[in-house]
Amino acid sequence: MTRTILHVDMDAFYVSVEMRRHPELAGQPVVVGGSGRRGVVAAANYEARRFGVFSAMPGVTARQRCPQAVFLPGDHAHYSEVSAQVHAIFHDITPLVEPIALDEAFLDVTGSRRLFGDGATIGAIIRRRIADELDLPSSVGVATNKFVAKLASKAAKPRPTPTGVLPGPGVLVVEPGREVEFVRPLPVSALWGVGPATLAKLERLGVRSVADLAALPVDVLERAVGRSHGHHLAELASARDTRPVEPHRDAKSIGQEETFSTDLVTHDEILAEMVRLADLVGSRLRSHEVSARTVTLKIRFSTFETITRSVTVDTPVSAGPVIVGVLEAAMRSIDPSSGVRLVGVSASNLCAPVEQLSLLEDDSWGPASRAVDEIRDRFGHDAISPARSLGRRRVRRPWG
Amino acid sequence: MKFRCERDILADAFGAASRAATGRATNPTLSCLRLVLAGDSLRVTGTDGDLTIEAVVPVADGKDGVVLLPAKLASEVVRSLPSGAVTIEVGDDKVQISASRVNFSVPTGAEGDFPKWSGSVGGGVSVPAATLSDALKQVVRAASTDDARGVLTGVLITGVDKKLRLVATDSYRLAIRDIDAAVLPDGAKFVVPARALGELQRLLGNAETVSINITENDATFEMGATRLVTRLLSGTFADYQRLIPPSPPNSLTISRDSVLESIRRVKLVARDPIGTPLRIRIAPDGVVLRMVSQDSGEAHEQLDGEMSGNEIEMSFNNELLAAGIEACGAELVTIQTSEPGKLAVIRPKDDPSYTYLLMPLRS
Repeated sequence: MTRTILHVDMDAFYVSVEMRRHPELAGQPVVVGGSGRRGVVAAANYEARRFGVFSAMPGVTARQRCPQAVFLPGDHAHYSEVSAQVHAIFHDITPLVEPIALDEAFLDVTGSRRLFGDGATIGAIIRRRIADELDLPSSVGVATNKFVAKLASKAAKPRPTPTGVLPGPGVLVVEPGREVEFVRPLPVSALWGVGPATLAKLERLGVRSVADLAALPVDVLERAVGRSHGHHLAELASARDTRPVEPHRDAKSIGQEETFSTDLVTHDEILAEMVRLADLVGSRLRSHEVSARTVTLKIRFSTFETITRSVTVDTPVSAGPVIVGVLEAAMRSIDPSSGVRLVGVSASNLCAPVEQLSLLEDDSWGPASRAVDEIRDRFGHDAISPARSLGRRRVRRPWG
Repeated sequence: MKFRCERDILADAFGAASRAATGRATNPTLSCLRLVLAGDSLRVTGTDGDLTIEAVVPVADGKDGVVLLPAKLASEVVRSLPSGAVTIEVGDDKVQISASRVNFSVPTGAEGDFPKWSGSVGGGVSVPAATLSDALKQVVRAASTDDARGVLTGVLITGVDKKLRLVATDSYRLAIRDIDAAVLPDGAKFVVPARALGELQRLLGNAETVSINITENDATFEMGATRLVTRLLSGTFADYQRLIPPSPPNSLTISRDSVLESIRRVKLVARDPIGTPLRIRIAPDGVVLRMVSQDSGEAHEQLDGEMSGNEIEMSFNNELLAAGIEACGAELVTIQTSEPGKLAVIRPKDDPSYTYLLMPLRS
């Protein structure tokens, strides 16, 4: 049976959420994130995108391109809350929802068609409910597989042009059988898995559009980009994608990293940041009710050379101070004197939260962690912090 | 320098000493074995700066001298040679290692900064090697293997009631073993790196007795012609005596082998056995071990045991529990408990010389 897959993508999600809180900013270019010397843009509204401001762009560049933009700090906790409300609407339609990020998800509505109508109708229902109930814009792609649905949602979006923002169709349906026709004119860079390296190899073969790619003999393609990657691209070029919508994709890892406006050069400075990041990671592990067997420290030097050090422990961890304890020796074996611009702490190898109690009371963090979690639930994240991280940046954002 | 020696004897000496050598130090001589020949006795030394292992072996046709050989290569070469006599002859910058029709030519190391023997010589207290070996087997595993944990990576060696007591903990479990030997005065306390004691255990296999001599900075263990010296760890060891509950109200006596076998069985359902609690319920009608895995089902097994006190249900890390029960060595073990969040005391039945304290999991 032909599947009906929806890709729902919120339009400039972070900015749109901010616009609800700041209606006075309507029509103005607005950027979330990008504050500080090295901050990175987390999101920009379509007005800002007209000036060439995009997410992941350094805040400095964004300010040069669009000095009149309003820069807002991000509020990740609030975005997560709103995201949960959006996902609740998806779940009214089908249980087969695969969340990709806070602002996008795949829905398999094959089984919901008898109840709600065809893909186009369901897409319109979802879009209208998100607009009516949450006052947020979104775009929906409808197709027979995930890959094409995602490209369709992109084509459904509003388009920023130098003269203004053109509204998009909102819901774009690629009818069964028309998938190849739809993908052929797209640039190859639109394909999932085509990054700068692959793009350069393909351009050398004269491949610019998906149609060029589809015309290329598979063996030539496989020689150019490697066998499995070539096979994968050939499948996509003929718009084939059999991946199911997986509703229960468990998190594989939980991490937190930060780029600093000034390089860190001593172990103590790095340790203070590790304490803060590990505290966040611990908090998130506990809120997901998991513990981690492996913890990883990531260090990026001012040269952009990046190293990671992983430690796997017998006793699963979920408390910030324990994570720091596990990683500290690895950190001290690194020479930071040339300058460290980014520190990251992540936890993986996740398992059910079993807390091994300690004989030596003062290193059992269970009760303390629970107390911290309760305080934060009631009074906000900044209500309590590790002493070592006090006096460092108060606002913590995954981008900054 | 030149000498001839039986392959088996030389391979054992090189093998033992090279376990202390390290390729990870900045001082390159630490990746070498130092050979010193005087008369017909060859001394082979390997060290990482903290741990040193030395073996003295008899050789023939010797010409005195000193040489450094790459430890890993030299011990692998000697072990690979055909059995019989091995000849080692030092040239200008190469060492010839040969046996019958095999010849290796190996570069020598620079004598440079090879550390001097820091241990004591003679004057220790003798203990049967098998007794110490058993004790180490019961205790060393309980020490932490995480270098960041400092003194917990060591084993406390202390004198208590004219006995030698070994204690180790990784903070989740704690093992105590008493040996009938007045090696240390009552109250004396030293912390020996667990890694060194692990190496010592390997060396004890062939010995009758071991002589122990502990001074302020080093512990020396001599077994016949082989000896080991290790630097001690500094820092205060946990006040372990305070942890031992005087008389836990609940007690279970059970067959060691049947519990171990049952743990091995029920943990088959756990895809991640360390992350899955082993639940144990001790009640008048028997003992039940249970493991529940979210994805791969559950297992439970009923065991017979003799209990006194109250019914109790607790969760443990199965590996830590099995390690303690296994270390008891006796046919019957007793497991004493007080309440679900408190530690369990595991001992061989009617034998106070070994104690294993284990904290449960919170669940």
